[in-house]
Amino acid sequence: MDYVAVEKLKWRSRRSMLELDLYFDRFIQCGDFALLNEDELKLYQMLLELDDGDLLLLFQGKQQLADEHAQQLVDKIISSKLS
Amino acid sequence: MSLPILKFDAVVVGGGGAGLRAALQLSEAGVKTVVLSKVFPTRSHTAAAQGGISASFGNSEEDNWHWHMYDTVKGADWLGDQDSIEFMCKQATDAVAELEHYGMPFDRLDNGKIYQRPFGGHMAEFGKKPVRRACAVADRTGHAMLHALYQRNVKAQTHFFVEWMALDLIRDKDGDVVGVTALEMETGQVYIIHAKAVLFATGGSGRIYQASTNAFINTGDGVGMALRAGLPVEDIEFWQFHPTGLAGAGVLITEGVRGEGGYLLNANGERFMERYAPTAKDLASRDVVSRAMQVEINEGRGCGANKDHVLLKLDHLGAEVIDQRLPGIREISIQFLGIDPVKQPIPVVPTCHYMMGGIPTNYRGEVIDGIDEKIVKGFYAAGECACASVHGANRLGTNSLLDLVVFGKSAGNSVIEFVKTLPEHKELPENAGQYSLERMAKLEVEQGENIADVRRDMQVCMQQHASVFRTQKVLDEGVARMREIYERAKKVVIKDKSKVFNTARVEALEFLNTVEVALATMIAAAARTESRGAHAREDYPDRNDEKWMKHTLYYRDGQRLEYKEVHTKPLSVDYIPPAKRVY
Ligand SMILES: Cc1cc2nc3c(=O)[nH]c(=O)nc-3n(C[C@H](O)[C@H](O)[C@H](O)COP(=O)(O)OP(=O)(O)OC[C@H]3O[C@@H](n4cnc5c(N)ncnc54)[C@H](O)[C@@H]3O)c2cc1C
Repeated sequence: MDYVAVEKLKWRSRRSMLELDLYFDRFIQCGDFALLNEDELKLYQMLLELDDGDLLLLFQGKQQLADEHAQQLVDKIISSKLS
Repeated sequence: MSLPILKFDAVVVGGGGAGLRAALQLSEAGVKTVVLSKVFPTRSHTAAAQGGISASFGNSEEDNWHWHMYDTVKGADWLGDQDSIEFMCKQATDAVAELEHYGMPFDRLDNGKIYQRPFGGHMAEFGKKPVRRACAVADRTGHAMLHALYQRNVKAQTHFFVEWMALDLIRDKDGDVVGVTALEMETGQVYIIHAKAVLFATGGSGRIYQASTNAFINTGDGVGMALRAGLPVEDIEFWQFHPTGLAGAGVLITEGVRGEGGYLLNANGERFMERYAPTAKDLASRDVVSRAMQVEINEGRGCGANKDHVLLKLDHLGAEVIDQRLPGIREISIQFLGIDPVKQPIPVVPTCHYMMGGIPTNYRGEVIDGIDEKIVKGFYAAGECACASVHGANRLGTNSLLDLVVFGKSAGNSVIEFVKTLPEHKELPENAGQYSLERMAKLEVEQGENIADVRRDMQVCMQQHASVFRTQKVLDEGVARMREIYERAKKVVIKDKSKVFNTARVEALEFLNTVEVALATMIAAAARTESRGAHAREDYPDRNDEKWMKHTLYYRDGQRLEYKEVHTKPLSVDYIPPAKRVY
């Protein structure tokens, strides 16, 4: 993905609920987002297409994604840490 | 430099509940309308609203709009305009029925009618006993509202410019509003949107505070733009705070926790609410609990390394109750603070929730300027960015979603009427757009302040000086500090100067709006020497109707304040005279 596409993903990580902002912001601020490979970025893009209510359920572990790789990305976002 | 110009009859800035309701009214009437939004409309902050929307259907027990009106006037601590309040409460049932017709799947009773929940401050018989008035779609009311309205707008062929940010209002020599400048984020191009009417529905600005339940997008752009265009903001000193936001995160912890038996502790392990409210204790009203918490913190009995929060103890409730009654709180607390509420108390602080003030309008959604309420031609506002004023000094729960649809529609209707009187667009002023370009160029000079630093300082200053504990000394110091921060904000620069999808530029432009709201709040709060609704002064504990039953107007020019009368003439019923606001 080119620079603009990646910046767009960052912008689209702004959501309607504070909870989601907190998860995505931490993931971006701690540097983990910058380390995503091309496939992961595509999965990230797919996550951003989801409804906010559903995203929240995923981040709170109340739902799981069928796609193993996508679920791994969710787990990564949940467990990211600010140093 | 000449900018590309796009022409519409009406431009609606904001795709939340208010913007979408207004746009729908316009498009269905054949007015060529575009909605600008920083994010995809259904991701506007309205989607976060869970509690519900009020309307006095009386589906479970007797209710009527007169009682709803009384509750709203009283909730507002007699600072609301009673014509606007009557208008809203009377329209509520039609407005909600309309949403249902648009496809909002409201929860239902067995008899098929809309199910209604009880909610704080909703009372029958003029404040006598609780009544069920809140209509909801499970815990996704706001989300369902946005989806229904968005689909309906698509059908009505509303144009959407998504990921566009409005920058400034354009006013001509008569002071009429004739358009906005806006940044298309994808290309970095600035456009002039030339319109017969501009309608702002840009939402709140809770991000002025360090502790806020608001999503990051609530940066007060509409108020910032109005102030820069020489228009006032009304009653901006009134912000609703929730006592228990998770410290360091902001996420709201419902009152239900204390209802279930959770209680607050200071650094000495003392259950301090017993001192402030011996009977109600931790279940005293929101403002009482918030202030008590802040006093504990201010007097050095806060917890943690920085002594900047108190603790909410709920581990004694057990895992089952916590998981059932507090969905999500346990996860957030573990994932962000490393604290499991089942095992340990959690850190909480009074947290900003809602902006009662905003761009002054009448109940028709027309923006009005000054003590004589002169109509600003071509300019309309609705929703949290506007002040109609129905929430006065304190908003009643679920009245905001109602405000969005009632005044969104009403403003839409006013635009329809206005557009009919203008066969042609008014001419753009010669230098339209220049001001926005200059503002953007300023961000690109080599040396200056870092946005993150100045923003953090603003949020800390607002939290310390203009949250729930307000005295003259605290506020005066706050004004001095905020003025310094405001000067620094004028010098913020961005490192990334690229044109396309530059999020740093967007955040800087947002911040320049937020800081306007922050300074206005501090100055207006320092001037109001009484306690009313959410504005609670330790040094002036009583409401003073004789001197202060009036609306504040703050102007950016000279950081000046004016005061105008509260509307005491409802549209058809008798005035509800001031009384003590006790529950
Ligand atoms: C956690 C939480 C729960 C709540 N629950 C309830 C509840 O149950 N009931 C209730 O009545 N109220 C509730 N509220 C309050 C209510 O949700 C809000 O007041 C309301 O949703 C605001 O709607 P709005 O249409 O004015 O703005 P928003 O929904 O915030 O939309 C603003 C729109 O403006 C756009 N925008 C902003 N600036 C610009 C710009 N410069 N250029 C282009 N577009 C721009 C944004 O992209 C967005 O589309 C709650 C608030 C919070 C924080």
